[in-house]
Amino acid sequence: MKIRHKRLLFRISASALMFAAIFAVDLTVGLNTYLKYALYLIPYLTVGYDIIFKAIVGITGGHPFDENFLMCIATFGAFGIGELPEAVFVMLFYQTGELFQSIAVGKSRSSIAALMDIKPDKARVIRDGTENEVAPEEIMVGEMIVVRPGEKIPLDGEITEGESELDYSKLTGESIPVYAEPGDKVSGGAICMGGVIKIKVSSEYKDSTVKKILDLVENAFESKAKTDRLITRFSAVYTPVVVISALLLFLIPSIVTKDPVVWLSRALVFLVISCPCALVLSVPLSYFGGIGAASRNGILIKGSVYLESLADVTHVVFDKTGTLTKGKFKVSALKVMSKAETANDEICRTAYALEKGSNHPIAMAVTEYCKKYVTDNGYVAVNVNETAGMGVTADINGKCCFAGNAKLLKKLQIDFDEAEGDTGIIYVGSDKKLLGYFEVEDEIKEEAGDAIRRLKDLGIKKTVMLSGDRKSCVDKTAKALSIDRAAGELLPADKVDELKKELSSKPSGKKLVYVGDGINDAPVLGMADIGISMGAMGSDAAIEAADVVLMDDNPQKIVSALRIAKKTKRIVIENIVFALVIKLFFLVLGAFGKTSLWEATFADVGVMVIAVLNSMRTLKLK
Amino acid sequence: MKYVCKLENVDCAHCASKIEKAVSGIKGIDNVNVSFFSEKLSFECDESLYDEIFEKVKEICRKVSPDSGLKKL
Repeated sequence: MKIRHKRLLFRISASALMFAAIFAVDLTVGLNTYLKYALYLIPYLTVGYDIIFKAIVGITGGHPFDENFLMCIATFGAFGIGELPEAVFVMLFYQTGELFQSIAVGKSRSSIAALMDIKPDKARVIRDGTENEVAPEEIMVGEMIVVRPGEKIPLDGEITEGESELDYSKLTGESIPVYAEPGDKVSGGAICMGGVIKIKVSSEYKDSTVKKILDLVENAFESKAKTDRLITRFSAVYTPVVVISALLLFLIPSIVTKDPVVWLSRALVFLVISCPCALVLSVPLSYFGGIGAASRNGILIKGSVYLESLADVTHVVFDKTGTLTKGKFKVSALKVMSKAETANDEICRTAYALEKGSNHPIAMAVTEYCKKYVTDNGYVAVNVNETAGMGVTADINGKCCFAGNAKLLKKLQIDFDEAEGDTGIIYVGSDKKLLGYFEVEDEIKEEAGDAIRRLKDLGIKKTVMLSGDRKSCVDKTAKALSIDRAAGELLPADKVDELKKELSSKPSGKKLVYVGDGINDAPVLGMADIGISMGAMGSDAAIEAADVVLMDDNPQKIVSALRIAKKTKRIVIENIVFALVIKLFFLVLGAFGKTSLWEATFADVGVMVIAVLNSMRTLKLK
Repeated sequence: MKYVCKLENVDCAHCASKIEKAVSGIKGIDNVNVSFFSEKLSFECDESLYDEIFEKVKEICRKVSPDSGLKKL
């Protein structure tokens, strides 16, 4: 507990003791009125002086209508009509509530801070042959760092020496360790479990994954969810309305029944019960916890607005490659047109020369397969031209060669018979003649099918898959995953159109999510109500482009994100309904004189405590 | 230029929004944002006015929430 919490606790305890003592004495011996006032004033001021001070500051500062003002009026009024113990009790209990709120917020903050404990405090860099312990911020790209078992890897880089199991749980929420050896890329924030490893640093701290995550989470708390803003506006209007209502509750019946004391008492009860503290804190606290819980699962949500929207998702659109499939294509067969013995050789050398410069997963698969046939550098591609969604063309040994899909061939006006089957096809040829084609297949992620099923269980009404791959191949994958609709052979611009189509068919008020890997996805990610990128570890593009960032590439995380969002929303609504209903109930009772100030205070603070405790449940969500 | 300060000891969400509103009224200041949970107060202003504005912001924070503290980051 912080010092100021301890101070307040002391004041509350001291005041409570004095209160109890005076109350007991009064009950047994009976005190003279003036003495009573003087005595009760002591615990009252002990516990409440700062509230009075804040109320005065509020009035002079131009914003009088707040909780401090309400409390002062209520307690002064109580003193005024001789309800002395009630007055002290109200202030005492209110301050207890404030202390509770303060501690709850502090606990939530440290919970989140613990989750975000991925920042490295120090790093061991090898300079001039010796190990130096320095701050991670001081290390430059290309330097070598050493990480020992049990330590946190401070920066992103590539392992050059040593091997170890790495614990990525603080980053991705995955508790299964990842084995890494020389040549593997590792991220700062992961914990080295087994052996000593030497890493060549690939980015400075300020550009590192850890820094990006920390910045992202911090900024996430700046934006307010719609519900939150609504509650803030509500309470700004609410307090003056309540004060005026209380005044009317006092004045009108007093004039009619000529019994001002009774009605003043009821008006005070009214004031105490109506305090909006429960709502004002519990709503943002719930979202705060929700974002924290998501972070613990390696799901980084950039703002409460998105957490709120995720709860209303009914349409999910997926990118195929890398999102639902592993993105690791493999050549499953090679078909050549010519019966010549050298046919295989020729097609592979041509394909290798064309595709080896491309980063496209399919190109890499073809390159991998053809590597076996390339023994010399006879085939060199010049004027290489890669067209997204179609393929590659280049000149090899004077001949114009190509490698790509049916679209490319149509564009180049090459005669060919379209291959049958439901795999990806890369046609390769030279001089406007088709040499043959590679059958290329991608593996569906094991968790994908389960993830789709669970999404439907959660209430997702429509799933869609978009891909640049061959239609028959895309349809096969969609069927295997039970996806409602799939569109294949899409160029990047086509994907945008498809998304527009889905957006217009979606009922208003409901949200559409697009899930991709952030590379080439930026336009679609931006168009969707919520853009989710997967496999963001080490991918700056993925982190930048999306609204929700999944650190690892497990599609089940999409389900987790939606679940956390729905549960958070439910808790927020529970709190709002609960607070309003209870307060309304007691307000009505109070107006009819069935509630005393004791009960009113209890109701108010009790409701607040329950609402705050309920909000903190979001921190534990999975 | 954007500046971020640490806003300490404000545990009441309501106070945070009061501070945000009050600080927005300072002349020469733009885009005030109080992030209650991460204890940050950010705003934009001219580099030359920064020190003066910082003091004004600090004063307002103290008025709204006497326990609070504002630190330059």
